[in-house]
Amino acid sequence: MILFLQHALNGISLGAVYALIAVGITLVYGLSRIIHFAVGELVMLGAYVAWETWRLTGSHTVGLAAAAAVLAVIGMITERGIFRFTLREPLTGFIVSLGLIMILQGIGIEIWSADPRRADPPLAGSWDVSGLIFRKQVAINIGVSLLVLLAAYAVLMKTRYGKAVRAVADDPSAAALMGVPVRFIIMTTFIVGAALAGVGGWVVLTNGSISPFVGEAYLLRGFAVALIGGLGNVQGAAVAGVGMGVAESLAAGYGSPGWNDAYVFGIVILILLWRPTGLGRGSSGAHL
Amino acid sequence: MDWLARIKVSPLTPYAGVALLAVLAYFFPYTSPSNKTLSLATSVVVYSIAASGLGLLWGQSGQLTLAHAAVFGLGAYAAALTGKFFSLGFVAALPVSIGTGLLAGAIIALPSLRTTGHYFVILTFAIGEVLAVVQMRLDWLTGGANGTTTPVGTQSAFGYALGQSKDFYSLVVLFAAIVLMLVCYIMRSRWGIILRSIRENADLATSLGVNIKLHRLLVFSASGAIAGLAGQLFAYQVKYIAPTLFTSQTSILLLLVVLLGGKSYLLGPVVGALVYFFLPYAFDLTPIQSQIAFGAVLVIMILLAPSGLLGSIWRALHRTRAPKAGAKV
Repeated sequence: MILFLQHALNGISLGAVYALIAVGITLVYGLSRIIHFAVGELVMLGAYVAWETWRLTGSHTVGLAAAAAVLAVIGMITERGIFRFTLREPLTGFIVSLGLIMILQGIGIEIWSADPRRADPPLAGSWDVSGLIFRKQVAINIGVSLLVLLAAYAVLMKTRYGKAVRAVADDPSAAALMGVPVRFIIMTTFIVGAALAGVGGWVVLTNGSISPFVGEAYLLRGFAVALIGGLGNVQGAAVAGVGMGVAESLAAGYGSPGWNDAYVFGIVILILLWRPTGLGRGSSGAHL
Repeated sequence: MDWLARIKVSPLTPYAGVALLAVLAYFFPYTSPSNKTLSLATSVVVYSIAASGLGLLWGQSGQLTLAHAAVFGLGAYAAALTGKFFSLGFVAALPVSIGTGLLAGAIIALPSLRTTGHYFVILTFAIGEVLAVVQMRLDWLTGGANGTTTPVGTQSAFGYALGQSKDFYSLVVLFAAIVLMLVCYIMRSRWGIILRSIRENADLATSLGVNIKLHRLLVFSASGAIAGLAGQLFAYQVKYIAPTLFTSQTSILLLLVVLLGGKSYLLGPVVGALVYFFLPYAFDLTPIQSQIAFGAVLVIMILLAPSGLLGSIWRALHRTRAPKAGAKV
C-alpha cells in the first residue's frame, strides 16, 4: 500500500508538468486549430532558460520568472513571425511546428551541447510520513503548477479577457462581430501557451536533469493528455494530466519502465480508435 | 513561354524521362566520384524511393502520415533479421520486406477509416513511436538499442556485388527507376485520378461513388510496400540499423524531402533528396547546423512555396501569376 501511494505521489508531480503543457496545447488548438508540435522544444528552452538564470543568480524564483517571461516572448515571436500566416490552413501550421522542432532542438544543441545539465534543487530533503517519502521539492513543484493552472483558469473564467478567449474558441466570426479582436486574442494564446511550457520547463529542471532532447517525451505526453482531456478543453487537460502522470508512474513502478512510452502511446491509440476525436468534450468544436 | 505550350507531350514522355534520368544516374560511378560522394548519392536514391512512397500517399491522396519512417524501419528490420536468423539472401528477403511494409501500411490505414485530419496525424505519430519502442525493447530479436547488423557478406544479387559500393549504387538506381515508373503509372491511371479526387474533396468524391475507405487502405498499402523496399535497401546500404534511425525525426525528414521537391510531382522526392543530402555537403555544414537550416527551409517552403521547388520552377516557366483554383499545391 505504501508503495502504491508512493508511486501515485510521484505520478502527481509528473502529471503537474503534463497538465501545464497540455493546457497550453489545448488553448492554442482551441482558438487557432493549429496542432503545435514544437511545444516539447518550448519546454526544453524553458528548462535551459531557468538553468542559465539559476547559474547566474543562484535563485530558482528568478529562474521561474525568467523561464515564463522569455518563453512568452518566444511564443509571441513565433506567432507574429510564422503562425499567424497559417491560420487559414491549420495543417500548414502543424508542418511549420515540425520545422520549429528541428530549429529549436538544433539551437539547443549548438548552445548547450548534448550533455545533460542539472541544477541544485531549491529545497533539498524530504518528509517521511510513516514510510511515505515526500521530497520537499516535489511539493513545491506541485504547488507552483497548481497555482499557475488555477490562475490560468481564473483568468479564463472570471475576466473580460477570458470571456473574449472563450468567445473566439466558440465562434471566431461571431466574436469578431461583437468587437473582439480575434487575431490579437489568438496571439495571446500562443504567448500564454509558451509561458506555460516555460513554467513546465522549470519544473522539469528542478525535478532532475535536462538535455536538448527532453522535448520529445513531453511533446508526446502533453498531446496524449490534451487528447484525453479533449482538445480545446482546459479542465479536461488539467485532470487528464494528473491522471496520466499517476498512471505512468504506477505502470513504471509495477511494470517495466522501458515500455513507458509504449504504454502512453498505446493509450493514445486506443482512445483515438474508440473515440476518434478524443475523449472529453473537445470532440467537434472547442470547449473551454 | 509559347514554345513550352506547343511541345506535344506523348503519354510515354514521363517514362522516357525517368529512364533517361536512371541511365544518367546509373553511369554516375564512371565519373569516378569520391567514396563520400558515392555514399551520398546512394542515400539520395534510397531516400528518393522511401519519399516516393510518402509522395504517393501525401501528394496524391492528400493523407499526411508521421509513421512513414516506422514502416521504412520495419522493412529494414525485416530484411536484416530474416538475413540474420533464416539466412535469407537479398533477393529472398525482398518479398518479405515489401510484404512487411505493405502490411504495416494497411494496418496504419485502418484507424484512418475512423479518424481523420489532425487526430489521424497524431495517431500515426503515436504508432510510429510505439514501433520505435518495440524495436528498442525486443532486444532478443532486434538487438535493442545496440541495433543489428545486416549480413551483407559477399552476397550478390542480379549480378551486382552488394558489398561493393559502386555495384550496390547501380542496383539501387535500378530499383528506383522501377519504383518511379510504377508511381508514374499510378499517377496517370484512373486510380491516380480517384486518389486526387479524394485529396481535393473527400465528400464530393464519396458522393460520386468513390469508396474512400477502400482507396485509403490501398494507397497506404502501396506506400507502405515502397517504404518497405526502401527499408531493405537502406539496411543493405548502411549494414547496421538501430531503432534511433526510424523515429518520428526521420518521418519529419521524409516529409521535408517530399515537400522540398514538390509533393504532387513524380520527381519531387528525387529533387528533395538531392537537395537534402548535397546541400549540407556543398556548404560544409555540421549535422546540427544542417538540422537548423533544414528546419528553417521547411518553415519557409511550406509558407512561401508549398508546391515545392518543382512547383515553383513549373510556375515560373508558365508565368502564371496566381495558382488556379484546384491547381496542384
